[in-house]
Amino acid sequence: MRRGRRAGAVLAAVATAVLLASCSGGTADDEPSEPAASDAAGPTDDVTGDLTVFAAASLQGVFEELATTFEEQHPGVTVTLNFAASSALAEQVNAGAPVDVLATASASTMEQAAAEVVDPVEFASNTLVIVTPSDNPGAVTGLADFADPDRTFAVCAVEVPCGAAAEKVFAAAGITPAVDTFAENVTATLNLAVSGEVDASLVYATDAQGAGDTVTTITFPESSEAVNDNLIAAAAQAPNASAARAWLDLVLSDEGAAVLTAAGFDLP
Amino acid sequence: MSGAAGRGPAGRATATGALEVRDAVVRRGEFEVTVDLTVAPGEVLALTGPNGTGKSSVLAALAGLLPLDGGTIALGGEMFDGDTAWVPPETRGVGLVPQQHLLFGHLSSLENVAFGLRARGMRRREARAEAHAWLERLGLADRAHLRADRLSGGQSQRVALARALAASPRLVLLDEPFAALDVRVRDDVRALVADALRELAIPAVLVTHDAGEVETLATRELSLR
Amino acid sequence: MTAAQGGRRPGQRARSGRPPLVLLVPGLAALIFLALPLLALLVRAPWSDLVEIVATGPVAQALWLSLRTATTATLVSLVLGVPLAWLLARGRLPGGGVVRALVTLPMVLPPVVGGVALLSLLGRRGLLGEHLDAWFGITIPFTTSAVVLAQTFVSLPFLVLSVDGALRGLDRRYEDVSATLGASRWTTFRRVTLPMVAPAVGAGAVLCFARALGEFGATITFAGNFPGTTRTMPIAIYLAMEQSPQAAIALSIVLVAISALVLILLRSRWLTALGSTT
Repeated sequence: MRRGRRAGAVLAAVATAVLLASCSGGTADDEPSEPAASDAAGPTDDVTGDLTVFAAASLQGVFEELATTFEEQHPGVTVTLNFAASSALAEQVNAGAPVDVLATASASTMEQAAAEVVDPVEFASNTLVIVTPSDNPGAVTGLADFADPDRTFAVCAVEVPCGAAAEKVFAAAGITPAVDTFAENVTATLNLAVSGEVDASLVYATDAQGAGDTVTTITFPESSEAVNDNLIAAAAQAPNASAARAWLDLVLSDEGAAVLTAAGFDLP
Repeated sequence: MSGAAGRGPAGRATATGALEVRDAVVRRGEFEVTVDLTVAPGEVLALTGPNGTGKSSVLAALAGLLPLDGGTIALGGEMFDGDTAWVPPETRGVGLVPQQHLLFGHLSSLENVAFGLRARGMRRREARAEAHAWLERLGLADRAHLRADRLSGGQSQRVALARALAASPRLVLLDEPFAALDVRVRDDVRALVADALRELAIPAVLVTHDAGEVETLATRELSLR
Repeated sequence: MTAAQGGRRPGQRARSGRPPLVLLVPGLAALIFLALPLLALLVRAPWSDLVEIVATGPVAQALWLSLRTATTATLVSLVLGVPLAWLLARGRLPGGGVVRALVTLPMVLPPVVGGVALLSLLGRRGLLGEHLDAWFGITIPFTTSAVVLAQTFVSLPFLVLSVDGALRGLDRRYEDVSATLGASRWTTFRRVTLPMVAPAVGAGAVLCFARALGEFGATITFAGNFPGTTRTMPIAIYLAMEQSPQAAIALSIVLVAISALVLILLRSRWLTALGSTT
C-alpha cells in the first residue's frame, strides 16, 4: 500500500513538472510600455523579461550582433533568437508558437503569417550571388554554368524564399539548371559550398559575405530580377509587446541600418 | 524395401571397423571421466551407470562434439581424436540418436531421414526414396510428409533412429533411444533396431537404464561410476 | 494460482485479475499519449482533397522512391546483417561486447549525425570519397545510392540485433546433430540454423524496413533533396510543412497507412518472436 501511494505521488509530481514547464513559456508583460527613442543609449527600465525573435536564416549574423546591443541597452531583457527558413517559421507562428517578433526573407512568407502579425515593415532586401568552394574546383564563372549536368550544384528548395528567388533568376536568364540537390534553407545551401560537397551554390549576398574566405563569390546581372524583401513585424499575440516594439525600433534605427549594410543587405 | 540380411536397405556395403578407445579423458566443465573400451563391428556395448556419471559426455566425445583432454579414439584403425589427430564430426560418419530426438522441426519426417544422405551428396530423389524405405520399415510411412514438430514423442524417436541409421554410419551412438516410446511399440522398435544394427555390421554404443534392453540388445556392458 | 481452481464461476476469476490502479493509470496514459496524436492526424486530414493531393506526380514520385530505397536497404541489410549476426552470436569476432555496442551505435545516434559521418567518409572531400572521385570519378552524395546507404546505416542494426538475439537463444545441439549427419557448416547454416531463426529474421527485416522508410536526418544530410532521385516521403512531408500543413497532413496519412499495412502483413508470430528475442 505504501509503495502504491509513493508511486502515485511521483507520478503526480512528474505530471505537475511537465505542466509547469509547458506553461512557463508565455509570461505576459503587464507593465505599460513607453515608446523608447529609436537610438536611445541609456537603459530603459520598462523593457524587461524575455524577447523571442524568429528570423530567416540569412539574418543570423545581423540579428546576433543586434541582440548583443539590445541586451546592453536593456539589461533586464534576455533575447532568444530562432533562425530557420522563413516559411518554416511562418508556419510555426501560425501553429501558435510563442514569439514576439517575426522577420522573414520575403514578402510572401510574411504573407503566410499575416493573420498572426501586426503591420509588417520592409527593412532590408537581399539578392542572390553564386558561391563556390574557396578553390573553385568546378571552375565556375557564371550563372550559365549551372546548366552543366556534369558539375554538382545546390540551390535552396523552392518552398523557401531563396529558392523562389533562384527560380526567378534562372527564368530571367533563360537557363534550365542541372541542380543536384535542393537544400532546406539557405544556410544549408551555403554550407554545401563551404564544405566542398558541391561546385557552386546560389545563396544571398549576405551569406556570401558572412562566409568570407571560405567561399569564392561570383555576382551575376540577373540577380536584380529576384530581389527578396526582408520584412519584420511584431506578433499580434506577443507575450512581451513592449520588448517587441523596442526591438523593431532598434532594427529600423540608424544603428540597425549600419549593421545591415555592413553585412551586405540593401536598404529600402 | 526391407533390407535383406547382410545389406543396408539400399544394398550399400557398409564399412567395418572396431571402435577403440584408450584412456580417453572426457571433461565437461568441472566433471571428468576416463574411459577405456573396445567395440567390434556388430557388437553393441551398453553403457550403464547412475545419472551424472558422464555417459552422454562420452557419447559426445565419440561423435566429435567434445574434444578429449587426453587419450585416443579410433575407428577401424582411423584415429579420430589423439595427440596429433582430430577428425571433425562431419567426416567421422558417426550416427547419433540423442535422448530428445532433436529432429529438425521445420522439415518433414521424410526430409529429416534423408538429411544425412543429401548432406553426403546423394540426389534428392534417391535420398527421399531411401528415406521412404526406412520410414516404412519403422511403420511411419504415413507420416512421411508431416512436419517433424507435429509428430508424437514416440514417432519422433523412431524418425530420429531412421535419420541416424539411413546415413550409413560407421558407428552408432544411442542415448536412451527407447525411453520415450510406448511400451507396446518399444519391443517392435527394439527388434527393428537390433536387425538394422546386425545388417549394418558396425559397432554400436547404447546408453540405457533399462536392464531388459541390456539383456536383449547388448552384447557387452560397461558401467560408469 | 491454485486458489482460482474448481468451484469458481468465470466472473470471479476475471475480477481477481483486474490490474492495480497504480499500474493501470500510467499504462492507460501511455496508450492515450501514443494514440491521440495519430487520431488527431486522422481527424484533421483533408479527406475530401486527399486523393487529389496524393495522386499528384511529385507525391507519387516521392512515395515510389521511398518504397524502392527502403526495400533495397532492407535487402542489403539482410545480406550483410545475417552473417554479422552469426559472427556476433557465435563469438567469432574479437572484442565481443565492444563490437555489439558498435553495432548498436547507429540506433542511438541522432540520424543527422549518421549523415554527417557518412559525408565525412564518402563526401567529395571525405576519407574515401576523395579518392573515389579522383580515381574513378564516382561521387556518392546526391544520388539514390546515397539514400540507400543512409537508410541502411540506420536500419541495419535493427536486423542484426534481432537475429543475434535469436541465434544466441538457439539450442546448439541441433547444429551438432546436423554435423554428425555429415552436413558441412554452410549446409547446417542453410538448412538448420537459418530456418530455425526465420521468425526473428522476418521480424528484424520488418523493423529494418520501417526504420528505413521513415529515415530523414541522415538522408537529407548525406543524400540531399532532389525530386525523384533523393526526395523521399519524409523529406517531402518536411518541406510540405513549410507551405501547407494540410498537404503535410495528407502525406503523413499516406505514410501512416503504409506503416500500418506493413504491420498487418507481418504475421503475429513474428511479432512474438521479436518480443522474445530483442
